[in-house]
Amino acid sequence: MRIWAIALNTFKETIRNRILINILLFAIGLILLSMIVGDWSLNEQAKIIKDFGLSAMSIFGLLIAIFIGIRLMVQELEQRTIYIIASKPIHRWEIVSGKYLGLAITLAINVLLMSGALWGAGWIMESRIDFGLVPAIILIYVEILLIVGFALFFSTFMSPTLSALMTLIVFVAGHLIGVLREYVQMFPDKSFNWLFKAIYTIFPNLEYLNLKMAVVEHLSRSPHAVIFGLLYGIGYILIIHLFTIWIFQKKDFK
Amino acid sequence: MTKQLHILMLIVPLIIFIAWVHPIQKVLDRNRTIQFVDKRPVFLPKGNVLKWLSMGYRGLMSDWLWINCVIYYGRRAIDEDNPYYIYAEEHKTLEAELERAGHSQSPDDIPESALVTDENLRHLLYRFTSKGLVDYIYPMIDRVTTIDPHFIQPYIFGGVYVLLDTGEIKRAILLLEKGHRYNPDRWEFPLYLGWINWMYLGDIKRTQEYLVEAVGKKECPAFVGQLLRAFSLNAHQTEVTKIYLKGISENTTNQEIQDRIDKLLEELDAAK
Repeated sequence: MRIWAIALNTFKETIRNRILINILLFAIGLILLSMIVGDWSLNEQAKIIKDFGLSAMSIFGLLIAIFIGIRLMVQELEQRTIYIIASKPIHRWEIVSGKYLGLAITLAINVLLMSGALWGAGWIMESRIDFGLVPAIILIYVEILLIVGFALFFSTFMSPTLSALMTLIVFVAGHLIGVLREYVQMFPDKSFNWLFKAIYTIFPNLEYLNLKMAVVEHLSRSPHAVIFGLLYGIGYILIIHLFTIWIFQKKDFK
Repeated sequence: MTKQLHILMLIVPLIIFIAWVHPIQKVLDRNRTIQFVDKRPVFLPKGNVLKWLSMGYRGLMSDWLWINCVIYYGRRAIDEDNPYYIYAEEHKTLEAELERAGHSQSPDDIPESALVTDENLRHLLYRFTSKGLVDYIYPMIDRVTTIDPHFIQPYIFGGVYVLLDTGEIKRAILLLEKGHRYNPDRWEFPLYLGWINWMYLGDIKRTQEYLVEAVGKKECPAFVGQLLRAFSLNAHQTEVTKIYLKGISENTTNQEIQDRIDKLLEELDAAK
C-alpha cells in the first residue's frame, strides 16, 4: 500500500511535467507527420508510417527515461523533500520501488497514446488497424522500463549530467553488444575473447527487445521471441532495480 | 519595464527585419539558381557500417535513405511532368546542365548492350543515359537494401524503373540477384530477372527458367503463367510485352504506373 501511495504520487507528479507533455506531443506530431513523408516513398506509405511510429515510441521513450527518470530521485535530494519522505514509517526500498512504479504507469500511458496515434495514422492510410504491431510495442515498453531502471540506478549515486550520459551509453552499448558475440564467433582464437564474452554476458542485449522490423515487414521470427524477450527484459529490470535499492539503502542523505 | 520600452521592443525587431534581413534574403535569392541535375556523390559509409550505426532503428534508417533516393530520382528524371525539367527547359539551361552531369539524350550515345533486343520497343523503354544519376542512385539503393534486405520496393525500383531510364543492366541484375538471395520466397525477383534476360539479353532459355521459378512461388499473379505460355508458343515479342504490361498494370494500385502502361499499350497498338 505504501509503495502504491508513492507510485500514485509519482504518477501525478510526472504526468504534470511539461517536459513529458512536450515530448509526447512531439512524438505524436512526428507519427502524424510520417503520413506526409510516407507519401514520398513510392507506394511504401504503410511501412514508413509503422517504422516512424515504432521508432518514435522508442526514441521518445528513451528521452522520457533520461529527462524524467533521472530527475525523479535527484529532485527529491536537491529540494531535500527526501527528508520528509524518509522520516515517515516507510522503507527506502519502498520509496525507490514506488517511484519506479509511478513512472512505469506514466510511461505505459505514453506508449498507449503513441500507439493510438500510430494506429490512427495507419487507419487513415490503410483503413485497418494493424494489431500485428503489438509484440513490438510490448517489447519497446519493456526496453523503456529497462532504460528507466538504469537512469534511476545511476541517479542514486551520480550527478544528473553523468547519469544521463551513462544511461545513453547503456542504450547505445545495449544495441551494439551483439557485435562482440559475432566477433568472438568469427575469431575464436583471440586471447582477449574472454573479456568480450564477459561484457556480452553481463550487459543487456537490447536487440532482443527489438521486433520493430520483424512486425512491420512480417518477417518470420521465433514463436517464443516475444515471451523470451519479455522474460529477458524483466529479468534485467529486476537486477538493476535491486542494485538501485541496495545503493539507496546505503546512501547517506546528509 | 515602461510602456514605451515595450513598444520599442516590438518595433525594433520589425525594423531590423524590414531594413536588414529581408533585403539580404532578396540578394541571396537572386544569386541562387534552381538546377535540374547535379552530381551528388554518396558520402555515406557503406551499408554494413550504416546497419551497425543505426542500432535498433534499421527500418527508420533505410526508410530515410529510401525517401532520399526517390526524391533525388524524381527530381532528376527526364519527364514532361517533372517541374524541375520544365523549369530548366523554360530557362534554357537544360542542355548545359545535362552535359555537366554526364547525361545524354542522343540515341548515338547509348551503348548497344544497354538497348532492348526488339528495335520496335526501344523508343518506349529507353529515355536517356545518365551516368551522374546512376552513380548516386545505385550505391544508395545498395545501402538501403543492405540495412534492410527485406525492403522489396528499392530492389524493384533499381532493378526495373531505373534500368528503364538508364540501361544499367549489370547494376540492375546485381541488385535483383541480391533481392532474390535475401527474399527467396518472393515471385517478383525471378520475374524481373527473367524480364531482363528476355528484354535486354535476348536469352529466352534463361527467361523461361526464371519464369518457371516465379510461377512456383506463393502469391505469383496469373499473368506470369500467361507469359510463360506465350514464350513456349514462340509468340511475337510485342505480344509478350503486352501480356507483361497488362499484368503489371492489373497488379499495381499505383495510378501513375497504370496511366503510363496504358500510354505504352496505346503506342504499341499504334506501332502495329
